[in-house]
Amino acid sequence: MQRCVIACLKNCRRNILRQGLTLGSSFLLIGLFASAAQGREDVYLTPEQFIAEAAGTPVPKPDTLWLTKDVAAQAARILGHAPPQLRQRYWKSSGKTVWVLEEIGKEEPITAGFVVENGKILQARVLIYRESRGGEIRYPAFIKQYEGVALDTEQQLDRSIDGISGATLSVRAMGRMARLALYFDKLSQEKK
Amino acid sequence: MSRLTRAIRFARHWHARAGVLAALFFLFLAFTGLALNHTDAFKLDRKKVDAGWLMQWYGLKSEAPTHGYLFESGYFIGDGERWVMDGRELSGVAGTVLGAVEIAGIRYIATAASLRLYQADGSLIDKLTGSALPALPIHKLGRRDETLVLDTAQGIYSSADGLTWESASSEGVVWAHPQVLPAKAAIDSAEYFAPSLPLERVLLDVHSGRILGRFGPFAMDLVALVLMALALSGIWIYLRSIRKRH
Repeated sequence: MQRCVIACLKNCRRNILRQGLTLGSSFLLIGLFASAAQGREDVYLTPEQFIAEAAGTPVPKPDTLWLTKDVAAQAARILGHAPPQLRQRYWKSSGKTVWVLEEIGKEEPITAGFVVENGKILQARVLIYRESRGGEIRYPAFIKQYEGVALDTEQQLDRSIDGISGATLSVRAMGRMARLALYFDKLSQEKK
Repeated sequence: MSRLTRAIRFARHWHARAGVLAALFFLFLAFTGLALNHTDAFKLDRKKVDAGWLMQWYGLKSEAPTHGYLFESGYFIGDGERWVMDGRELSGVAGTVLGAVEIAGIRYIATAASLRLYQADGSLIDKLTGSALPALPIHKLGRRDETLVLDTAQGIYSSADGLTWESASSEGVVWAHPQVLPAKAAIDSAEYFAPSLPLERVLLDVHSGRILGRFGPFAMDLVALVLMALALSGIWIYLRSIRKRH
């Protein structure tokens, strides 16, 4: 009888411990999730610094590309939504064009800079990252994949870009911005 | 039946009943407390609650705007939280407006750190910040004929297109000032300026009981006392049952 009572007590304690651990870990997970989701802004390079680096100093006067109805429609097809503004500023220097674009990854806009030459991306940089997860897209191992990439006839990138697990939406946003920069560059060349 | 047995039976009886009632409050307190603990993550301070009955409960009355910036055929109203142009709210913007002018069909709206260009239909043409502006912060916005003029911390600058800027004087500049709105404009935009409260504030008041007025916190104190009594009676019943098993 005594053994039975002791076994019962042990069992009871084990259950309490197990439930406590489950509850504790649930709260911990919620806390971790919530703190990870908090908004922030990581500036890796200001747009002004990027433009100065890419276009040289003194920074040339910006050119503008007006998003007419047709252009806005094509930009919307690339982005999957209407472009945020109707006038896009860009900078020209030694045959290159420099673009600073913004696109939402999951909830917040990612600011990225692109240098395009001869219809191919010469340089891509993540300038400001505001999402809670996916900031790995700024690392050279990922971003260098865009160098030399051009648009195919379907307005898609002519080379596949390896993704990053856990940063899918940010990777897609970078892809859309890269396509838009190449498309805008094409239009800016036609403007001449 | 001994006095102790009667006491235990009484405790069990009321513990169970009070427990069911208190469980509802406990869930409610836990839910609101959990949400309030992560205000930033859930963006509770940015989410607005504007239900008419709730605003009435708080004693907040809707106040139609009386002043704004007038264009040739339109108007713009902006407070720190909302920007409304011709009866349409402009999305994704906020900030104290320093001036708004219309030149050649383009509407320029300035804050201390940015200049936004809009079409009359509310489409954003461009957003100028940082080095795209001649100097910061902007103090005033105005026009001289068909030229845009900015009064900044480092002087006055003018531009014909919002792209290139040159130093200018204030001579002949008409600075933008809020004017009395036509009655129709005030009525059309009133809904956008209806009172609202951050969700965080409402949740805080609900959690503390203050939403029920001055006696609300006492009601929540009572719930807290019931929860304490439940915890104590629960421990006592548990200890008694263990001792009984021995």
